[in-house]
Amino acid sequence: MTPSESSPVATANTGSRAGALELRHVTKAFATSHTVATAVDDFTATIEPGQFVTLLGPSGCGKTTTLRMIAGFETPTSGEILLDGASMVSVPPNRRPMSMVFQSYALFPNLNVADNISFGLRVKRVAKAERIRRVAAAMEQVGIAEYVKRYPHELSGGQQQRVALARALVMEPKILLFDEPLSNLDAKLRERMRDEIKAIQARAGITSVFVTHDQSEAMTMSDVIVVMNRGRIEQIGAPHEVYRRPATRFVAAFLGKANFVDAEVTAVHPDSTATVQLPGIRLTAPCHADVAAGRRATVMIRSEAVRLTDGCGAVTGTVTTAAFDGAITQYRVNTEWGPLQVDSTGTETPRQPGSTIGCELANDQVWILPGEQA
Amino acid sequence: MTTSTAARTNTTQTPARTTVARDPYVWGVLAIVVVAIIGLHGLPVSKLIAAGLTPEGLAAITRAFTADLAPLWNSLLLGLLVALLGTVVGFLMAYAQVFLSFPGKRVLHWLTLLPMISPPFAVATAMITMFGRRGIITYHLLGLDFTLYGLQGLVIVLAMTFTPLAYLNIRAMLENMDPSLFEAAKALGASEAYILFRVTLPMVTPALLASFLILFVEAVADLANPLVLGGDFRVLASEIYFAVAGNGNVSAAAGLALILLLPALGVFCVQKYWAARKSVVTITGKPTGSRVDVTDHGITIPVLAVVTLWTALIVVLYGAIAVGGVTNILGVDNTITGAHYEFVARLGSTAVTTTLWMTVVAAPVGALLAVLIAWLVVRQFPRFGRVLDFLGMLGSAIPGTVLGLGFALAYAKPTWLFGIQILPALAGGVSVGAGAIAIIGVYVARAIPTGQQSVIASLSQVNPQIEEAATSLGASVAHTMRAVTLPLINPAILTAIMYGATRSMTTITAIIFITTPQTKVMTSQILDEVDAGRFGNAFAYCTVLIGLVLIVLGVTTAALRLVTRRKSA
Amino acid sequence: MRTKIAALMAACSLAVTMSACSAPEGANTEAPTSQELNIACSQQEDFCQKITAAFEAATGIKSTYVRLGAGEVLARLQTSTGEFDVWSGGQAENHLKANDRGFVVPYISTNAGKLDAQYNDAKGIWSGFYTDSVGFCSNTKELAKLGLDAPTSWDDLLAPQLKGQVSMAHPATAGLGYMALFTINTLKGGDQAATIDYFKKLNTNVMQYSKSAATGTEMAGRGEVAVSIAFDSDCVKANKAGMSDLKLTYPAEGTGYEVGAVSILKDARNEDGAKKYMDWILTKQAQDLYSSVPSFAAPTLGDATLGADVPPQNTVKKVDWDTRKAADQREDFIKAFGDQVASETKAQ
Repeated sequence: MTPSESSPVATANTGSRAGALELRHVTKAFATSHTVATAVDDFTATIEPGQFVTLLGPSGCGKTTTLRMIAGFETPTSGEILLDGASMVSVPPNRRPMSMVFQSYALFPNLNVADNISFGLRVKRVAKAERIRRVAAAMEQVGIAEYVKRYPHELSGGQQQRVALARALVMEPKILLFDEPLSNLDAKLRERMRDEIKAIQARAGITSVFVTHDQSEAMTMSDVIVVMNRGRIEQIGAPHEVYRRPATRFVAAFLGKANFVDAEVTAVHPDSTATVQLPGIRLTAPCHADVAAGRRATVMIRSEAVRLTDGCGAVTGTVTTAAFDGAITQYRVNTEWGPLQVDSTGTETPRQPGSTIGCELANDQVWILPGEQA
Repeated sequence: MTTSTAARTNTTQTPARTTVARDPYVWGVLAIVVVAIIGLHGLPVSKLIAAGLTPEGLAAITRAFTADLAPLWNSLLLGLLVALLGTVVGFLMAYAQVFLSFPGKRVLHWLTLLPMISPPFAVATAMITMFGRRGIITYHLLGLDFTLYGLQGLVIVLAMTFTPLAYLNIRAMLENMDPSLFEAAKALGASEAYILFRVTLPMVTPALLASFLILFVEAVADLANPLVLGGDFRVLASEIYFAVAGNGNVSAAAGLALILLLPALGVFCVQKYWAARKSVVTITGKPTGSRVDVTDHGITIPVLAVVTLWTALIVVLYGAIAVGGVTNILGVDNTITGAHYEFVARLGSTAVTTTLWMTVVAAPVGALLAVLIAWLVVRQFPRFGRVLDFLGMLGSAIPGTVLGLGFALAYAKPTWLFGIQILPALAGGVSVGAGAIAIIGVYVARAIPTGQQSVIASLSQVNPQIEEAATSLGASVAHTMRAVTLPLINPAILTAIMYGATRSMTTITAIIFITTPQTKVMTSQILDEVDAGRFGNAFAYCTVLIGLVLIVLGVTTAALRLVTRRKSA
Repeated sequence: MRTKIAALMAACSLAVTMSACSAPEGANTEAPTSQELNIACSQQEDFCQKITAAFEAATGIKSTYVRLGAGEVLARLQTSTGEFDVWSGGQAENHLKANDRGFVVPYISTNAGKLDAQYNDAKGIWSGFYTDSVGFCSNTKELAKLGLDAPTSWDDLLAPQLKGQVSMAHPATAGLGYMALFTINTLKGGDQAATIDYFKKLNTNVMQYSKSAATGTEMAGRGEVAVSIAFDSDCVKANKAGMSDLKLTYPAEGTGYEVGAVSILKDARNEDGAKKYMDWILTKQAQDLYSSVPSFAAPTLGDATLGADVPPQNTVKKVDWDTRKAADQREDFIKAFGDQVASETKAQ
């Protein structure tokens, strides 16, 4: 099942292949009989060759529509999609040098594994010898060489996923598109597949756009994450950026667990930190560029940034619930700042609900955002 | 990766492009479908309307609503009774098939379907012989003096002819009901009778309603049976026939046909857009339990009694057809004879081959159009497709009488478009193909709807991502359709061909106005024999025709098995 | 956008429909000629088949036929001519009717001279090649149950015991039906009201107006009705075929008779063949075949072989049949019949 470490990477010789993708003000509106719903609103981004970019967001945020516009299954209402500088908008999907891996795998049920993988090569009228070579290489690459003659319904979910991947890879596309390809797999397999996909993509060096609503998938696989909400881009950045320095409260809440406390900004310092006044304490922490002195701010405190103590700390409170989850213990603590979620990795004995505790903050894991405008 | 926070463009602009730029192939397919629909439905119906709205036609319409109300009233009455009886019996047969356990279920299934694969008046003729005033059973066995001619006979015969439609419809819905529903009802303490009336029946109401409406339209449109068995019970369909065949008054016939067309279209719309929407059954494809048979005698005994009676009736009637073909005059002179089959061999062999070859042409063409329509509806024009879907289904909504008359009106003379002759005459003996083209046209028009339904259902279950995958791998629209879509819906296509062939071979009402001397059709030959009272010949013809239909069904079923086996292999 | 497509489509179909109405003036609609002969045959299927085959054998002209009632032939001619070259069978007045509408090409066959005057049209519109009469075809068993003898008068059919026991062909589709109508009319001295009145009374007794002539006989044979107004030839034929309870009687006051005629149709694609057919059917050699079909209609040639059981026509009392008048009044009568008789609802 695991790909052979020593397998030749047939599609890695991508020296000449570019794959720079640029989306300019791409907007997609669906006209229903009564209203016009904007699924994607002014999407602008540039993806460098070989990058692995994830479109992340809740369902209905427009990420799949964006992917389908890149693939050509939807036409933007306005805006431009450029691949290596050439406009793609009027190019039909079958002429775009891109391959897509679908959520449902979308294998052809009437064709066996080898025929599934060679489908696109046949369409392109690739000579038989080369076809056989490339199919074999692709199968080797994803570790399904022994299933040549099987039909899709005779394969497990993970195997089907590999076939789908091989079918896309064998085309040696400039862009690989993934539409939530892992969402139908169970948790263990999902983790293994995401490592493999990332590894294969990295070896092949193909620009990839990956759609998911799973933040840990996005964080582990991506070079860049595009967080979307209601058709708009909330933030574009590397995984650690969007996690640690989210541009908006939405991003902060969507990735990981965060507590938000409203505060007054007392000072902004030149080193991109700010001092805010919280109930009972004044706190200095890294801040967003838009934070200004004298304005309201939202202080984001990651759940793992809180350390529980026996009494003293930034704020004290009472434990309301405690749930032991193996590696961590999840607490809810009622404080002066409101309820806080705390993930404690401490090896201390779990604290009982009702016990009074103190909360210490790791200031570098606190992030100050501009206050939400009403 | 660089972020661009360029000024937003005007986002309130109206969407200019809302769909994917379409492949010319799609437009080509759309053009074929539109031309086919105009040719098969548009032109005949508009010609009919034009003829119906002439003074003569209007006079006939006025008369039908004033001075001579009987045919209109009779048609409605007949339609209602047939629909009621057929739906009730269809439901009971389906209920028994799905919920009861008894020996011979498989056989019962095929017996129930038998009337569907035989020409409509096979039943009428056998009925007269067995249950007529001097019928073998009613008179010779029971000593009754029972008159079959008129409403009573027509209701039984038409109900028998069309019950299979109701049966298939309702059975499909019953089978798709989630068994856990019944388990839940039982767990809540409901009795089987309670479940039947409060769970099962309400849930199949859409199917019951749909069956009722379909049967109503079919019964109102049927022409052959009122001619044979009508007695003095005059209905609109036979009035249309007398107007054309007797008086050559095509306009009056067209007027009367319009009266038939309107309620049929109304019923069709109700059925398609209202009944379909009210469907409460969720077809998951994965039953979440297995059905437990109903065993309450309070239910099983009455249901099985009706089922047995109905089946016995079918057996007796089809037995009469089989025996009647080899006896001189069944019920009068029961000596065994081969004369009827000789007659068929001597006079009917051309009709047999003609019917067969026309079916062999029409069924695949109908299936192909059904596939193209379904493909456009499901995949290409999901919203505008509803119009296409409606137009394709018209073939079943337009009563056979109306369609046939429309074809005669539209194609007896060459078709001209903007002063250029685009089509020669297609209907009538002097036409190209000696009228066969028009008959095939009618066959195709009648084959499209069932095919379309089954292909749409099948196509809707194919994940569109599979086709997108092919596109993403570089396949053109045409290539995707050929290499991916069609193989996936093979079974539905074969089913479409099967239905199309069956309908073509057994139809009479729709082609009675366009049969020609050079193109002899079996059903019209049978009607001639029935009409002339030579039942023996008719029985022999019917037996041969049923045999042929069975062979065609056998061949397509075998092909279907082959296709599905290869796929699951 | 989609509504635009739909509208466009609707507009297109409308345009097509509108402009596809009919051929422009002066368009050449002439049908090509053909070597084959197409016969509209208004006799029973087996007769049509035998005669067509015999003609083909005798002349080498490839021939096909379609069996159609006289009314149906008229209706078809109305829709399009050229479908048939020759019309063989059916009452002479129907051929006259066709001629009135311009569908017949007069032709006096070289063999027409051998026929009696009543079997020929003076202008060559039609010639007769068989003849039979209207009679009563009764099922003796059924009559016995009703306590009746076989009817020997038109008025016998009105007996109250015969309620729902009489079968008659529909005048609109079967020549026989109209013959019965016109026979009564002749007997009533041409009084249409009196004629309709008779059929109104008869209507109570009629179970079904059948589409074709032979149906009634078969119904009587099976006992579905007791009496059928039928061609004597059909009645004898059914009797010989196994319906042995059938008995043929004639009305004493006289009855109508049919001259089965042949005529050549307009726009024939094989007019020569049609003429040859007409010549041939009037020969003894052709008419001798009737006895072996077997057809129970009598040949019009006095010297042709008469089959063993064929009802001899010279002994039947006939009304003074005016073919011209019968043809002229057909439409009137059928309309009156349809409006006043067939549409009567009767309590059963």
